[in-house]
Amino acid sequence: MSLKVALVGCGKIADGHVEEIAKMPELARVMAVCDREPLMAEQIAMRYGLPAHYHCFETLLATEKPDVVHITTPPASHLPLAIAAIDAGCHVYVEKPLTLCHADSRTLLDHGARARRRVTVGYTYFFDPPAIAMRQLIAEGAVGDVVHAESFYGYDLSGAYGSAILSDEAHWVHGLPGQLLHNNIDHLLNKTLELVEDERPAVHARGLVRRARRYGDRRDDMLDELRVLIQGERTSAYATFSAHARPIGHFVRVYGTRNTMHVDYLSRSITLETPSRLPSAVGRLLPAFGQAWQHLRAGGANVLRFARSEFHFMAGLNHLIAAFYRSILEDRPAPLSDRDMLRVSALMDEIFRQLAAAKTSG
Amino acid sequence: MAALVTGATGFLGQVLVERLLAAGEHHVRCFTRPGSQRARLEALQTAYPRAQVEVFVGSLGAPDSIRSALRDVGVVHHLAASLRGAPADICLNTVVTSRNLLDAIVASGGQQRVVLVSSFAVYGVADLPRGALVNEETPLEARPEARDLYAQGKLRQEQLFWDYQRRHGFPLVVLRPGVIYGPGGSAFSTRVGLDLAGLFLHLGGDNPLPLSYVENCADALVIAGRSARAVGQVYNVVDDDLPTCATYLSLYRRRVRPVRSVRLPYAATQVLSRAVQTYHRRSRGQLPAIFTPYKTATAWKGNRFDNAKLKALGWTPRVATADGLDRTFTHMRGELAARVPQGRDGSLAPDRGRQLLRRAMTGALPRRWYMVQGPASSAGDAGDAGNAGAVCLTFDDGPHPQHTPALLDVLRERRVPATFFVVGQEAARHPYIVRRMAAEGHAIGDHSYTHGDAAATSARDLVREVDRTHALLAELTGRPSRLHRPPYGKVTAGKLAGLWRSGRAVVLWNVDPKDYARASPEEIRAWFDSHPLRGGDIVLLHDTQPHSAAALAAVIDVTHRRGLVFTTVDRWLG
Repeated sequence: MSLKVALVGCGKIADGHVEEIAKMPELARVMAVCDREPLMAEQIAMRYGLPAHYHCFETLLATEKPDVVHITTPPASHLPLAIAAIDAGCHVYVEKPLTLCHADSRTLLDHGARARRRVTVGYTYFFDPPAIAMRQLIAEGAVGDVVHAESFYGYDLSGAYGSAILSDEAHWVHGLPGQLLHNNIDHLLNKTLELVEDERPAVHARGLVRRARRYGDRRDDMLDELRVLIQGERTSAYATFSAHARPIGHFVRVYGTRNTMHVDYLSRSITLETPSRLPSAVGRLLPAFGQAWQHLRAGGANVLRFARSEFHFMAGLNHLIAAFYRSILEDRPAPLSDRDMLRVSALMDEIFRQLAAAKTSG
Repeated sequence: MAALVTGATGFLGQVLVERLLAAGEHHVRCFTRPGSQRARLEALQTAYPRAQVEVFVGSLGAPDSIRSALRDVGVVHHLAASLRGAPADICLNTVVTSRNLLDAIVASGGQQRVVLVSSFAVYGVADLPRGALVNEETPLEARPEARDLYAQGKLRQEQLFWDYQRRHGFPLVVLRPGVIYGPGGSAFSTRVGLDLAGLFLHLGGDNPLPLSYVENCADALVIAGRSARAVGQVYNVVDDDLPTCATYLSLYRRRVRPVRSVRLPYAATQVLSRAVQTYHRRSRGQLPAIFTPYKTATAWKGNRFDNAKLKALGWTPRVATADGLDRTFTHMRGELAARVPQGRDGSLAPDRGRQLLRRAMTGALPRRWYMVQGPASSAGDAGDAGNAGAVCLTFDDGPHPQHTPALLDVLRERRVPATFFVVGQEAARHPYIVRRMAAEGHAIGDHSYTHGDAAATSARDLVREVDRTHALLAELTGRPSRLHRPPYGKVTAGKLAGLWRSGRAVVLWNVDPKDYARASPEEIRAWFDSHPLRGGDIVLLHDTQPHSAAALAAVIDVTHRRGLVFTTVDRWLG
């Protein structure tokens, strides 16, 4: 059986969803798209040759009766659209952030559970090839016990998303409680919470606007740098969001009791830093070669994957969507647990509370 | 009634506003987004004090803002569109904005004439035979999904305008320009080829390149906004005497910079496109299908173009293609030269290493060998400098048959001496101008014989060119000169050694107002107002630029008022 999929919200990220779903015809097919702006729904349907497009979500639900709805609209509409989809009997994939706050996320997940419909959120990097490999290596004991983790997520304000946000004062990102951060730091935080297992770790957050003021409106107040210290009972994590550091990085470092692991999402490589067993100056001579060898192997493995056509740009999105569909078709647990999603929501609430408090007092 | 221009800060928009004012428009309302660069529009207000150049800050995404922009408007020139970006952004910024504008026009009664700037991209030419003539009767693209995002956006935009026109009946004129080019525009249309990480894939070959010089295109818009016959019509906008893509590339190489390129014949491009498309499918989209046989046929199969319909409306290309290319390439060459970091101008991209080296050399070497700046306090030509010091105006790239004499007139009137670094082959072409420079007391140095690409010129060749130019200058003026300014300000250790061996003084500059990149004399004046000169400054200007001469009198006056005097480089050398 192949799932009937509909997609609501035809902005930039919708393309990625449609393209990845098209790669799994045995699991699902996109039957229709919807956007409040009819021209936006029309353009994506035209480009991908989709059978139908709508500008009214209720009409879509009633007419197409989809099995799954992907919600790729601005975050403020996630909750009402997801509830409507669940009420129409659909499973729901929601782009991150799941909702605007922890309480809303709780409401949504409870609603899904009551209706026995699955809900997942777009934590795509959680399912990127290096993240999956990292999880396996940690389970095999490659780093020992996790002592501390660092998560870094760089952002390009001059890229397609960044420039769309900065060029438009009315852009929905400016209306989110955490503005730019609110739309991005799921990717930063879910990696740290995977490694800090505490239910409610202590959090200390600081934000900064590093750009020069340019517009004289709320865009100038949009934070573009964030540092978060997350302290659990036995493990801690440090998370950095930066729109200014170059090159734009995306990595996790996991410091363990045995080794330290560097997981790079951009080069899709994992390297392990191990204690040197050799004495004196020689002990400082060889590790660089060991690192070089690991990079060479990682690069070589990537070339082989590329040659086998297994090195797609949106591999994480593809993996997550496929896992979600399989969980529906085979009645297995969803790829992300409610706890995974709710802890990130709670952490974001706390970060934005602290940033708002710092702004008021500052 | 006002003329409304959307996209007024864009490449075509700024020129259109100027042409509307030049054509006698009294009130031009420039619709701009918050944060857009408005300096050029503001300069236009200064240049046309009797007209009203109104900067209207708003968003085409916000219907309210469009409604107020339409108040008392007689003609709407709709230029705003997305040239690149994500598919959703192109749709939002080209198609949705157009629909918002159309809704606002209809809501306001639909009395305005609307001139839409569409594009050649809307034609469906892939299935036409090679060399087929494209005119206004050529069918529109029937397979938009197979085309690039820009074409999809422009096609949908034009369809919307005709749909609304049919339903609501406002006067509509649609212009479809080819490749709009000019100073400040981009160097290569994809019709010529694509840049692949430093290697230029030359795909256009001997296809005609449908150029439209930005001023000529703006003229067509002005006519479309006024002619009664134009209503309800479509016009292609393309100039006469079109070069082939290959000619354009070779001219660019000669005039601007060397380009490493590989020429791919059309048949080979088609084979490549098929391979790319097949790989894209087989690898399930691991790499994007940037080439497909259909897109390739559209862009590089080759067409001929026709502007007869537009000419019948009374339009002629005011700037001939040869002249337009000359202006464009001169500007581009100037832009490239400006990338060499020089002196104090915060807007230049600083190459720190080069700057430090230059500073170290300035400190270590005597001025008679290497000069970037003169002494901070020195008497100028007028005797007492009042301790404020003297500055030196230098003009590169000339002599130019029109602009240099105009500049000399201003200098003579103000009794200001300057230093000219002439290009040998230009001096040979206009010897009387060089003689006049010398007779009026200006210093003359060389700027090589051909102003070739610095990287491609060896030290030996440069010294040979410099010697040749100095021999010519000595013959023309009867005076030997030691002054040399390297093309683009670029020198190497080998070139310096060669130049010093033949006794040349290498003269650079520390102040660069980038006159070649300014759209008007006002902009140059404004630059000098915000960057006051100091004693010892050597100012880089170009006598090939029309605006420099026009701005010069004001620059001289303001400098005099600051207590500075003018001198020449050779006086500083002693």
